Amino acid sequence: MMQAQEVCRYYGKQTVLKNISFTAYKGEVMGFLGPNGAGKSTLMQIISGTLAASSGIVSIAEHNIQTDPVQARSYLGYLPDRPPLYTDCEVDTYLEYCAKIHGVPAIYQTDAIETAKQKCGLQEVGGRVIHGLSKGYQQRIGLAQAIIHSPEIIILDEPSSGLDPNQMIEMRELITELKPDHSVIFSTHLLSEAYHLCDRIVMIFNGEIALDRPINTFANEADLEDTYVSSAGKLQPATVATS
Amino acid sequence: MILDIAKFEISRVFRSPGNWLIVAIFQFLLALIFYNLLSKYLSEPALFEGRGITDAVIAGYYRSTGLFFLLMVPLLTMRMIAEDIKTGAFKLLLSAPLNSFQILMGKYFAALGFLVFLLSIVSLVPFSFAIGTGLDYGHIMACIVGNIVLLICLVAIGLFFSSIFTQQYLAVITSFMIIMLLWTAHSAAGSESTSIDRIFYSLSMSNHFTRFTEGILSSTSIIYFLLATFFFLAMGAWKIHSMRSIDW
Repeated sequence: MMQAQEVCRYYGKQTVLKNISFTAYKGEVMGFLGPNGAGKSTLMQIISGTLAASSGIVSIAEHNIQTDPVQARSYLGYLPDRPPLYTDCEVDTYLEYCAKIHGVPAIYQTDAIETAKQKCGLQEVGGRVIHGLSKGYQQRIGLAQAIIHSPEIIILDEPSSGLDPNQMIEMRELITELKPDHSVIFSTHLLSEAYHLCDRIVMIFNGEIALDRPINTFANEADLEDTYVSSAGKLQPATVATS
Repeated sequence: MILDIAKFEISRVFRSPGNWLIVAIFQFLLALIFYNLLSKYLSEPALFEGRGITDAVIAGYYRSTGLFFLLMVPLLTMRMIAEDIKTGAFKLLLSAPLNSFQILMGKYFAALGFLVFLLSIVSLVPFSFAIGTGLDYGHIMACIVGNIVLLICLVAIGLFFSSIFTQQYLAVITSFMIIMLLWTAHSAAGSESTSIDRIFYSLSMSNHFTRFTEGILSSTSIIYFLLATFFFLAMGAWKIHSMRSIDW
């Protein structure tokens, strides 16, 4: 379980995130929706431990990410908006390194790599150097590193970005497959993707949570779209936010 | 974890063609220097006032090795953190269950391992003399220790500046400037031997390094290099820790 309480983030006088609170549970897919610059990526960086909150608490499996960061991050898998790849390495070498630094015991590393490759459709490119692969493959390698250690919480910042329609379908199938054993938090601009994948929708505008509702409270996709547009209208841009 | 990061990073250092080019140039220039020193020793022995081959040729060779390291280390370390920050790959380490010290030391040992490997290769040349003549092994060992402690310190400086800048050229320029300031600190001292002059002398990296190439295994000089190393490593770990406070 992940919990964010009253999380704020300022850059100088600029408020990027304001009093963000939510809880993510195992077996749940949570979708962050919002326009560019709403603060989604900043929030994902904070909950993944790569960026400190100005105030507020983020706890993962009851470990505070500020005071007990190493323990807290051991429950996390994170795919940033730009996949964190060493492009001069082969896919297998990179994934082996990811397994090691995420603390996968040596005897399970081969299995972990094979499972991640199989889930992300990377079996045929294991020996290829990453910089020679397409953006779609690179995105999948980024996803494979996020799930290789089978973390409780998986944070994916726009995982469908750069994927072709077939790969997007595969990505959605993968997220659905991950759902029972993990808590998946992902951001997207695609309302239909959020509608079909998520159990809960969190809309973020101007650094604030405008709405946090279970998906079954929306009548249909059009209802989600209407709610998104009306929520965007309610919150006037008090500050300029960057994501 | 430190060892895992070091092993991965050292494999990346070895697979970079740029690093091999630096190594090739380094070896070529050192071979030229060695050839010049040896030819002069053989053709004009009077110039060396009866000094043995270790003192006259090998010590000079290791002095040159140290000077080349001053140029080479910033070129090697500049990309080790700066490039990862620029490409976003550093977020992999920041989101993994690792602390700042583990990340820094992993990269530190990778760079140091590569450079010590290089030093061991260039050390084959002086040891080849053992086939034909007697060598002062104590003096040679002091030269090697001097180069190792110099490397230990230079890598810490290079990595710190690599963590400061995302532009690699800025990392290399500033590392080189700081190394040169430390190397030539004695030149700021006057000839009167006041307490300020003594401070400049004791800060001079070249003064401390020269002791080793003269065959003196000085504990003061070892402590100097270790203190400088500790200072820059602590700053580097602090910088990595503070990366979590800024958006990049």
